[in-house]
Amino acid sequence: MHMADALVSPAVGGAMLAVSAGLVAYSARKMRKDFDPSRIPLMGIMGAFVFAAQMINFAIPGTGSSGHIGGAVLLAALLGPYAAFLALTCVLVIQALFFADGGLLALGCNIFNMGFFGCFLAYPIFLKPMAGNFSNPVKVLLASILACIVSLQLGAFCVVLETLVSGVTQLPFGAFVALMQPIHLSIGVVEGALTGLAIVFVYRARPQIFLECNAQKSFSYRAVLGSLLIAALAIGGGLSLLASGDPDGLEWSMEKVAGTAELESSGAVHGAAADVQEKTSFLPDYSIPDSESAAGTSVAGIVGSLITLAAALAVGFALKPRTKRTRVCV
Amino acid sequence: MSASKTGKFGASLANLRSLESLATRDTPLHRISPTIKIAATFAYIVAVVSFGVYDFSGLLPFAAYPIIVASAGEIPYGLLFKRTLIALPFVAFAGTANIIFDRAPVELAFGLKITGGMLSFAVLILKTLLTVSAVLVLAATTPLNAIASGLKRFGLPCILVLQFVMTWRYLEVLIDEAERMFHAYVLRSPDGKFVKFKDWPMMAGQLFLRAYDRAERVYGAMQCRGFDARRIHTHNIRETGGEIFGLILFAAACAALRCFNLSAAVGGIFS
Repeated sequence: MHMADALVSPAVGGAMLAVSAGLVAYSARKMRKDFDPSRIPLMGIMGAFVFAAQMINFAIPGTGSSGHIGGAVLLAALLGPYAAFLALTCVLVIQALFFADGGLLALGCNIFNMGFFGCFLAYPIFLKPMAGNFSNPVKVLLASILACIVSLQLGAFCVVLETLVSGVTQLPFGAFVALMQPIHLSIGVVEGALTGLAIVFVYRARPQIFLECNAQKSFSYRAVLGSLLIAALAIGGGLSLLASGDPDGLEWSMEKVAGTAELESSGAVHGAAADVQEKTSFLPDYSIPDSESAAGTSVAGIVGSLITLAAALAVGFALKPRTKRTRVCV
Repeated sequence: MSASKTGKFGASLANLRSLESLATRDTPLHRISPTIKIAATFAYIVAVVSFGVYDFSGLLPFAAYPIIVASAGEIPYGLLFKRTLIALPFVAFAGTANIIFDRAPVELAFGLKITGGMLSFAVLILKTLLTVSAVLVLAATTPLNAIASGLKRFGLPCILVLQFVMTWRYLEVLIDEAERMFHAYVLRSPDGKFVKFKDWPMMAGQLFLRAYDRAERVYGAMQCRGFDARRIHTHNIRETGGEIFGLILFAAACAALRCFNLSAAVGGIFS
């Protein structure tokens, strides 16, 4: 799922870098509050472990492609979401620098796609409530499969959005989604099963890791909701602004094609123009009717994000065991 | 198949060390402050990816940067090129769609025509080669500790810098333990084959426990020698005036080449 520099435009790369930097700063501040230095070796070795695990590719049956695990959910289970997010960030930085896997400008996209959903969405909404204190292997296995599927689906969808908004590929939205989502569904199932088995194993062999993790201050849903909301607004608002406000690369190139290519018929020009229009509003339903402005798209983006967020939360609440007292307040 | 897997794993580990051994050498390029090099790499990448999807000729002069830096920093071209290829598959996948969907003809010189999709595919591949090699020459001329110091100087949180260094160093611990286990396993299996599939989960679990326990011991040893997580030591970086001037010059050159098509100008002189 690593995106290369060549696949992102400066605007998309910069925006996502800012979002990820904000999340890193937030996680670091949360960690500084009750930082336990004895967790350092665990953080280091888990980072190294996930790094090594990402180097092992497994074939996906029937597609002819291969995938590797992301590790965000596993890290979150063992380290807690904030440390997990920082650990994954470091893994991605090292991969970008030394392995040419993902790029420097695309780092923000990669951190967000692979880290955010696993650590700040799948962990608190699915894994933690469903698996509880990780003592029941069946619950742990099911919860981690669900958490991995959700985080990979959302991450893969973000890859599609970021690539298309960057305007480097002519792949239609529908085809791109149809390619990415099923592949990452199968990766999610495999990763979820592996993650679940790993958690069960570590729980049996070194239960103190989880005791220390649980002894830390109980997870603040309010903070997660806040960060989720901000990120959703930033992406919904920011990216939809970019989607309609930054068509220059494509428009320019289309003009160039239409200009240098010998115009055989006006049909070709119309086709190109329609193409431009189609590309610049690749999610036409996301615009408010009767509004051609960038702000219209942006409002639609934000509203859409809020609705999506609400839906995700509703699913989370529906799956949450009733016996637990809910501390969530929206 | 299993043998090829070990080969691949071993090769990845060898790669891991090869870049770092390059980075610890001493050339004028290695002595430049890491912050300056990181900023310059960033400026270069932004300039490269900001090119239009059909602007092949404008982009081409940017190839000079990795080539010049690789020779000045004594980085083998072969190593650089091989590493760059790793990034290509996904990009090629996204780019192939351009060939399929964008069939508007574009005229090249001498009446030669190709489709827009072929041109944008070539641009995408060139962008990948340039950006990836730019990052690799940065990694090959800057030791990890220097990059960590640079990140701290850029204002990244201390804990992130600590985690960055620890991940890299504990990777060595993990690799050591893995090598030891694999050796023990292979020596005890009568047919000398690589780890059987059914033994993989057990091996992975044991590897985690051994590496985790050793990481704790290493950390204990570090603390005995006065390591304090709240005061991690990184080199103090001071950029010289000359370096900052050089960075500004470099960024200006990138911007100029972005706006001015050098290939076309040179071609114009000769034709």
